[in-house]
Amino acid sequence: MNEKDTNPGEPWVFPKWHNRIPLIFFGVIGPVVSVLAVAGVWYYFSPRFTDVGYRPEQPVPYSHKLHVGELGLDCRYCHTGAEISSSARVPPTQTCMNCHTQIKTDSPDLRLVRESWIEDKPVEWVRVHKTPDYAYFEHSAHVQAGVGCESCHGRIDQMVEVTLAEPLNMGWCLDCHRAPEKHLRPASEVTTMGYVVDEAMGLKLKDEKGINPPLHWSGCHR
Amino acid sequence: MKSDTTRKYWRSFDERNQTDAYKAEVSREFQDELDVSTPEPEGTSRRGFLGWVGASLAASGLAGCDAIRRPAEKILPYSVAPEEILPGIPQYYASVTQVGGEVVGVLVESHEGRPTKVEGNPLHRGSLGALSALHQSQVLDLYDPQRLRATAANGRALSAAEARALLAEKGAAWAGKRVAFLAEGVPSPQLARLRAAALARFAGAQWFTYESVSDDHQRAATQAVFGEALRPVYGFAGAKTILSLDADFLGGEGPAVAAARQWADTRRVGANKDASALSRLYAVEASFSLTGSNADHRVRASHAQVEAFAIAVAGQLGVSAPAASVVLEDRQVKAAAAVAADLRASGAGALVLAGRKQPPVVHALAAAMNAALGASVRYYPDARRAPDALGDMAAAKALVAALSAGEVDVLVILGGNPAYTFPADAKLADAVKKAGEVVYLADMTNETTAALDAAKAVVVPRAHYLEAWGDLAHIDGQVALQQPLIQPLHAALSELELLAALLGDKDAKGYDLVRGAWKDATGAVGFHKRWRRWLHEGVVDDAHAAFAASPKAPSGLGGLTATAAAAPAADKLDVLFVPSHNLFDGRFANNSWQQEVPDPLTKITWDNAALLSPATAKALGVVERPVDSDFAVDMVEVTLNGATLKTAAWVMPGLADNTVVLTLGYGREFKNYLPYQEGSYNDSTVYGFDVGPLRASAAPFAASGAKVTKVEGSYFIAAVQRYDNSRQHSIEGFENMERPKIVRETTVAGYAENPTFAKPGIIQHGAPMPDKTKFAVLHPEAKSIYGDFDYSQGHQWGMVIDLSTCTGCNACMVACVAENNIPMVGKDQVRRGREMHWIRMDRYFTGDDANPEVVHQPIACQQCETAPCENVCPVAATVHSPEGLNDMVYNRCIGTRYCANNCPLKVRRFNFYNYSKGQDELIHMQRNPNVTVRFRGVMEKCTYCVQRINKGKRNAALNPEVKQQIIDRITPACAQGCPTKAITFGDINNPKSEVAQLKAAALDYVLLSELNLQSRTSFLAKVRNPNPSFPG
Repeated sequence: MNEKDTNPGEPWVFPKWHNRIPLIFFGVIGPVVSVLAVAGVWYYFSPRFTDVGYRPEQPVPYSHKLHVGELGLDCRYCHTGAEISSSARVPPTQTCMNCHTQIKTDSPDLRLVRESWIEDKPVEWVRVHKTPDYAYFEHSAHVQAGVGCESCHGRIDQMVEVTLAEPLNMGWCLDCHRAPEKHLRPASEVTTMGYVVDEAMGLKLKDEKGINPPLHWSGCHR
Repeated sequence: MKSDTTRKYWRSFDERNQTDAYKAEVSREFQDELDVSTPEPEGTSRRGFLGWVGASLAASGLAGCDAIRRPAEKILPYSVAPEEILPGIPQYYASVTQVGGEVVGVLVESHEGRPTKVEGNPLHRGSLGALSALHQSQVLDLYDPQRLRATAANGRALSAAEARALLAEKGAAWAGKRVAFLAEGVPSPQLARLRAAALARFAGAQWFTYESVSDDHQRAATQAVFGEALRPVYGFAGAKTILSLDADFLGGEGPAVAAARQWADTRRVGANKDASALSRLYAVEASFSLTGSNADHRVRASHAQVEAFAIAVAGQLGVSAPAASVVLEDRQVKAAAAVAADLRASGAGALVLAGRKQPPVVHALAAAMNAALGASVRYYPDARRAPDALGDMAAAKALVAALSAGEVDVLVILGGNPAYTFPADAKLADAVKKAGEVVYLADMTNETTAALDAAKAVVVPRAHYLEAWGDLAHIDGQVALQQPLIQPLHAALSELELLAALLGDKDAKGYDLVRGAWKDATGAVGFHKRWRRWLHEGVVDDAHAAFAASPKAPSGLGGLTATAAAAPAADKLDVLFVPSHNLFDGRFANNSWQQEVPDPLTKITWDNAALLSPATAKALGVVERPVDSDFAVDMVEVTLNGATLKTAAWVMPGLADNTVVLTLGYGREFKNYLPYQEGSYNDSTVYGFDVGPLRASAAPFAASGAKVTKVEGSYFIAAVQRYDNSRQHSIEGFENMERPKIVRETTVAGYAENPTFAKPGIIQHGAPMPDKTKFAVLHPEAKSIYGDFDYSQGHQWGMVIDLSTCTGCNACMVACVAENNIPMVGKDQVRRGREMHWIRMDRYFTGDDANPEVVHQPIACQQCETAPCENVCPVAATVHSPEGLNDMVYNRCIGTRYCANNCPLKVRRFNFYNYSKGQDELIHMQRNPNVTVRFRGVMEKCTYCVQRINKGKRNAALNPEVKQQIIDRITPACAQGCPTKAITFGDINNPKSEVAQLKAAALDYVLLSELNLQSRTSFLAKVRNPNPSFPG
């Protein structure tokens, strides 16, 4: 028994500093843990953590970095229809073979593409960008309004394998629908990668085109 | 007629009689639910499911964060993409189809190769842009999982090419054999060509054409008076007075889709100030047809009295008529005089139509009357069969006689289901076994496949019209090309391919057959361009019409005399056989859309019943449907010529007394899977009663001398006209609160006197009209609990439904089902009040229950600006859009159903179960990819087809130079499919739009305006055109 902790002659009691334990627990540790828990759930349970960075292995090691970043192909060479249809289609094998009947005709990486071409069966790509079934994303409306491909798909020109760059959740959609000027660019720059949006230009475009993104349910769901 | 204020509208006898049981029932607002313990489908029980949920949650915790991620989804692009297909943009192709020989041109919507919805082709004169419910439902048959998959031969399934080779082999071996063909009445020029080739190839072959819903009487009459079988085409444009002698020209007799449009065009008041130009429709009938329900004067007459009525009218029009064999009642004599005077006054604006149930003499009388009046009727050859062929019933008897006598070595059946549809005295089922060999082109296993001797039969799956090439001639000769939308899903052949293979051309493809024949017929010069244009437009140039109008004029009655008939009596009832409005002759029995859509007049789903007039029912001791939620009705036994039928009985106001009306097409197995269907799951179920055993070839539509007795037992009927429907006005006590009526109608004279009679709050002729609603007048201080939202900007969608032209045909309901992925729930669920149709067709009777008048009123979500559903939702799952739509957020809905409770019109539908569960994936191919398939536990309702609005807005933005035109053309599925154009939709903020102009019309009113709902859907009050001198 340590003399310092007890007063001689007094009954056996807890040391005095024990009185501060509840104070420390409720005043300091509790709030810190709660804040951390809330913040943790807020972040780690959100699509920004769970979904962003999703990079599945694709059957064919197609590199956007090579084709877009280095060779400079336009997005719409393969993803035709993005400006007129709800979906920007994944290209048919035919599009690959436009070039690859002449270039890298025996590359082992292209084995599946050649098989698909010869046997007339699809290449089974793994989907990276997916909105829920009840959300009807309309590529044409966004492309026509001047939302860049990059705004949702990120710097595709720097991706060897396509990675989900944005969370694609509803809050993220609404951020832009509430303030479209932060993401609008002139029609000529829609497919440009690394374009820096000028908010004044965005406001001007918004007025010119009468852009008024829907914030109500039936704007995006049916 | 001052009846507008005093009229009572009722939907059931109990409502009319205000029985205690009825009042108790309605005072509960919702119908008493049946025992809700619908058994779960086999598999996991609810408890088991919850257990698994817990276990899997625990497991996911163990498995770490990877388990949170959705399963990887694959994208399978084309290898070589078809040039015109861009995912997300549907294609539209023109084609043509027929039901029972009635041809309509169609435009088919296809999503990435899947045909999903069929709409009318405006260039086709049988369609004029709309379709009937039956024609629309055919798209579901394409994906029917019960369709035959392949020809079975030598114990294995053949591919289409192998089947063709087998048929060619068989055809080669048939030389010298006695071959008989049995075909449906399909008016196809190519079928006629191959028919001639087959008859030439197989010496002595016989070709029989049979349609159960037969026009034999019309055929016999035209044969007698014109010397050849002709079909009349009536010129409704310009018609002033129309007399229908039992002719249901709005409900499926003749080219009904086009006739409905042309008739409605003579009935449209809209925003016109003057309604005096409306046509007037008289209907004389014993059953209650859709046409009768839309008539200005419906003369109730027994079957034989219709003929006597025709004779009476003809006599007064100066047409020499035979003496009638039955006496008309006094009121009918007076009515005939009034009708004759009206017809005579209308001259060339008069039309007389004879129905297919009526004997040939009535058709001859109608032709003679039309000729005497100078009416606009043209006659065309009947292309449904060879000119010298036997009539339907004679063909059935001749074929069965030949089979029974062993005179048929080979029988080729081209579609149809003759073992079910043949008359009772020509039973194919026994006779067909005597054929040496049978080739049957069938949709699925049915009564006929069951009757075949498997050892001697080859059953070939029939291609759906969306899978096969062909051509069809409209009643007036206009030819349309049947263009397939999809490769055959199964190893199926079309009629043309089967015949060509039998004729030895085993490589014949439908495309080559049809294109080749048209090339030969119209010349090779410029053919490619011509062919492409025909395919694009869907119709062939009129220069190449299949036939032209016959120049012949009727000569008297062709020796036809009055039918010897006696008036029906309590011990000798008349029996009438009518084709089902839903299943036709039974060919739609496996089509859940048609099974579940209610009959337009009885409102019965999934069943048929023997219909009896109230007086006859009383005499037989059959009670009107009791007010209990079990919907159990009495059973009766009908005995006719020694055959008996035990069937459910249904009391139907307006029928002729001592007449029992039996509906064809029922009593067949429904073989498809509905998850919550009555009975054990995945079992097939028989719905309704097969009336075939009573139907003789001598009297296919009307027989007399039947005996009907009430027998022990009861039967559950799922009828949808219940009491939970916008029923504020239906307890008489409530009417003292001066609630405006749900249905408002006037007459031409009443409209001239007080055009604004229908305006909110005003139900009294001649009463002063305040500008505001009655509610606002009574409670000037009351304001909406919603803040005032500014709806003056942007597009504001609205709809107007014209009650004058709505015929109640159900086309809108089926269009809505096809467009919006609405699940069918099955008879058991309908009985529980859980049908999911977004449009409810309300049918009100008014007046005398011996011969009531009818109002049809389609009700869907009215898109109220101050919607009562919205402020009771605890999770804000139903909210308003700035364009005035009441949006239903499926993925927010937790299923409290408060909104449905608070909806005064009861238009919200709740998914009590996951109605799409477990269905075959083939059926999923019909689904519209632009509309969510709803899950269990969420509410749903009409969206004004918001997917079409969004598409229109997108296309307008992409094509700014034609923006306004695109916006003006946004049309929801119901308005698009309406044969009479009774539904108008558009932007009410655009004063030039049709909908805005109709909303400004005097007749426009909204439902329950006293609740200040500010509904976006409004109605144009019904304007009838009664004859003031008609005997009351």
